[in-house]
Amino acid sequence: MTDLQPTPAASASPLEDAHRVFTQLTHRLRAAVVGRDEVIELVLVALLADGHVLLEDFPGSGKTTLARALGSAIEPGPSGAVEGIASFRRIQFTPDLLPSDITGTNVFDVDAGGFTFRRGPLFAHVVLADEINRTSPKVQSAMLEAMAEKQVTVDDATYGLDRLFFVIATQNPLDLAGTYPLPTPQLDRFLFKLVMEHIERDAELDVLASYPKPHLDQAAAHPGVSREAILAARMASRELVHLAPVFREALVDLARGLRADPRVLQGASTRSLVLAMPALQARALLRGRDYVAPEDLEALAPQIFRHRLELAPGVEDPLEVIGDALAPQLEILARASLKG
Amino acid sequence: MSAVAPVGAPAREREPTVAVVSRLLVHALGAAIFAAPLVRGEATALAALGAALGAGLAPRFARGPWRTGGLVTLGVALLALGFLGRFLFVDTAIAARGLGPAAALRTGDGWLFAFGAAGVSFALRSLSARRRSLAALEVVAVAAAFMQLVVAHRHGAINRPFEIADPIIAAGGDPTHVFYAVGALAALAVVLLLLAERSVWRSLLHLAAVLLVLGLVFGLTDALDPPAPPVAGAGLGLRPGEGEPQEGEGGQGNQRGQGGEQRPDENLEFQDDLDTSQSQVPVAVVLFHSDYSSPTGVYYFRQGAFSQYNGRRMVGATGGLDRDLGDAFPSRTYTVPDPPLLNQNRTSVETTVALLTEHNRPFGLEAPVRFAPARNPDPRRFDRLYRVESAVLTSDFFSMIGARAGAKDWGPEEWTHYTEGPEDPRYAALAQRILDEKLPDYLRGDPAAQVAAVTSWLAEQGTYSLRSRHADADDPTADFLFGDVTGYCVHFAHAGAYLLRSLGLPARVATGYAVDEAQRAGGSALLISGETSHAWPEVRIEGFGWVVADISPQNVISPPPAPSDQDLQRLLGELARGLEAMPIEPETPLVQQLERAFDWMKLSLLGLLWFLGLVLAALFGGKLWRRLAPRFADPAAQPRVAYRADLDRLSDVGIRRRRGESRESFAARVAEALPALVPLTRAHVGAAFGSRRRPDLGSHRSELRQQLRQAVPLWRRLLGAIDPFSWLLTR
Repeated sequence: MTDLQPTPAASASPLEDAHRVFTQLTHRLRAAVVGRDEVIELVLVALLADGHVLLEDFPGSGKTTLARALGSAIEPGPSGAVEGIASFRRIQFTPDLLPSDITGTNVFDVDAGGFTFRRGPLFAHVVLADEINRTSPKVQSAMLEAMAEKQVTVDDATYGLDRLFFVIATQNPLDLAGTYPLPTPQLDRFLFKLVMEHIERDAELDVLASYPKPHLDQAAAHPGVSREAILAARMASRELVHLAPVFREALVDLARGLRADPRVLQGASTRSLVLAMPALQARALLRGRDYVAPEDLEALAPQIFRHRLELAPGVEDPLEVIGDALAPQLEILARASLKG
Repeated sequence: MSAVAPVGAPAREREPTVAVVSRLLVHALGAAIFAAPLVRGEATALAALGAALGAGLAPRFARGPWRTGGLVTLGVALLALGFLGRFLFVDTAIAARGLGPAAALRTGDGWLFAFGAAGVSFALRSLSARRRSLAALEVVAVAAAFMQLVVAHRHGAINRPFEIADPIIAAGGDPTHVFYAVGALAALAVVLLLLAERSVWRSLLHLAAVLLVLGLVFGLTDALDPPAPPVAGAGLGLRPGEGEPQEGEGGQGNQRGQGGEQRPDENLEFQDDLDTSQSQVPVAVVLFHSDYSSPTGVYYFRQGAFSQYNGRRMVGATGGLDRDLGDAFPSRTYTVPDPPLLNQNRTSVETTVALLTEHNRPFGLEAPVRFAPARNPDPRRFDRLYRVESAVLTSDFFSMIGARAGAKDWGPEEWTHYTEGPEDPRYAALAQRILDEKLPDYLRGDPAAQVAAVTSWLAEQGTYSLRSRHADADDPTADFLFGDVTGYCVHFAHAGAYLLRSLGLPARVATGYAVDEAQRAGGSALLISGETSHAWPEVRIEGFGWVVADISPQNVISPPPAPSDQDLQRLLGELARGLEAMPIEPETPLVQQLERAFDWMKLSLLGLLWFLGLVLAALFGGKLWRRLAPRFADPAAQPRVAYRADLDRLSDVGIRRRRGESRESFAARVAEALPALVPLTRAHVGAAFGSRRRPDLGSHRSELRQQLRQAVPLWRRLLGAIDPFSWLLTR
């Protein structure tokens, strides 16, 4: 995190504003969740790239804290909160959940003498979809429609979600009894699948040291950011961070390399490549750069592609497959930089 | 790494395709080069194919569980299979009966070379795949394959091995260039093999091994090598000798017109050891335009004549005498000032002389009348060409009986000049004794009979030897004639001339080449080699002109000359005509081939060293240019050029980005020792991928140098500075 320097409160360019906003977010999340710097960065990349993340972890690893901290960091902007939109919602997915439980439903309003739509928990800036693999495919697909289209459909009526709709879904990698594992096409809708590991000893000690005052409260000391600032940052990231054409080639060739690999049954989709481009820009912006660098591809490619590959039987590690396909592209990019 | 699992381990170390392919190419090339002079085209191709297959298969086996010894044994078994196949095809009658002998021979060769090359390449490759240091063997083997090619061209041999040089000569090219090309190819092959080693140090080690082997070979060759064949004929003054000033009319044809006044400072000196006459070096090729057969069975080519007695020996005459010689190479047609008469005794024969080495003056068959320039079809092969019309004698001494000595228009001055000899009375006494002994009374006064008597007496009594002890005497001829009568042509010619002069016959000593007619072997070309240089007496007979009165001693101590090379004679004849030669088969002893080839090998090595020197210079030039480029590059290119220079600096000391590693990861990897590389890398990558910011690099660059000095010991930096390859390995 060498690029995160304190930045002045007001800056000239939208790019610097965006960087400042996300630096604030980073500081706030780091204060709330100790020892998860890399996950925090990737979550923020996804937020900035308008994607969603799937966290694969075990209970008690801080995912709720992370999501809640993110939600609480998004403050009502100068124009006030969008009506009816919460900043954070948590949905605990269970087998008996119904789609209307998350999207909302039409209820009969006695006063008005007709049905009115009551918004479900999806109408929030940050939604934590806990244990998404525990619910029925019906609910999963309603969730995924919301994620992909940023809208929900209830009884032939379509309701738009907030533009800043960001899902952090979790699933438990070990306890698979009675679950409905997400099929690969549905996983495709998540920008990243982040596999979390136990935090290091010092960080864990740090978590305990904060007792009795939770870290989340300490985070409140850091300033939050407004919804508008995040939306402006998204805009700046897409339009002002330079994505050299050679990266598009690298992405396509990387996907082709993955598809050609005999260890891969089904390779990465074209959609994943489309999603990858804003992700690369977002990471560059987060790192304080105005251009996408090969290191962005190097860092993000495993996260982007690991859950999108159907591997041949007997092949365990998608990261090894991705690494093999990535190396020639990194080599090409590295050589491209020395060419006149 | 706390939360996110690392990217999969970097791709397995796979040998780059370029290295694999270049190895195969080099093996195929080496095998082909080795086979080319030994066998026909298809066997050469098979050898290349076999070598490529063997080299291609070896790494697969080398990765397997087999023992290294087993792999080598497999290679040797392949080689043995090759020999077995050749034995079956060639040395037994089975295949010959079915295929015919020629096809069987070809099949056998092809079999042997295909399997042999496959076996050798397989063994070498598996060895070098198992143990990297043994790759030196591979490199040395390829170098040796090239060496054995050029070995055969030692001492400038041009028709062995026939397949390499002669087609080039026949096509009018200069084979030297081919050998330079072969040398360059060899250097390229070796360099390719060396570069395929991905460690520069190993490459340098192998290069040192190759140079050591080559040096040993050349050192041993020089130590054991007999001296190169000397240039013959120089002892008779026919050609400009080494160290002698090559002045006078020797080389230039445009000095004609000064008549015979200016005689070359030719030297017909007596020598005790004429060790140059055994040389077979070809000096000229003579093309006969009509079929002419000499009555004596020997073709005499006169170049000079010596008629002035200087008290010790014969020297060239001045003052308008001996004006029947060509005194300069023709730039236009000219007739000699005092041509021999074309009458019933002499007939005209035209020849073309193609000189292979430089000569002082033109020579022509027996008695040249006219000289004319001729086009040189191959200036690199022939020194010059000219045409000669000669008036050759058609009759022998018997038909001269009755003719008078001298010439009709001679005055007393000429008579005195051509009959002056030593005052020693023993000559006259001996001459008289010979006449008494040899001739009946009625012939004793006849000049032609006298000449025949004197020459035949000398031939009977004399002993031909290149070693004699007369040179120190006051009159070497007397020492020879009245001593052991043992000497070489110059002694015999002088003795003959003095004896004839003492009889009052006008005589002189002529020099040139004398070639046995049999050597023409029915063709129209006659190869003159250095060993045929000769001196002989001539006598002037009225109506016949100057007549060769050669003496052929019956006793010969010196070894007889080797038979001449008919193939070479034909080849050079065709070349002198400007024709391409028919392919012919070489039939020269291997020892001789080897001897001659070493010269070419040295030349090739020199070429190789030059080439390597050039390659090194180019490498260092590239290195220097890339290092200095930041000073000259324009600001827009600065981040790229400066970063490249910094990477070269790191590469010098072995710090390089790995394949598939991004620049940023590389910078992060070495950040501990070289923190300045991180901002430099960021600036470079930013500039390359469209950043609008332009950070200042100057301070970081000097910091990087500082950090490099701290992190890397001096000796390593010095080694890096003289490493010519490091910048090529920069990634």
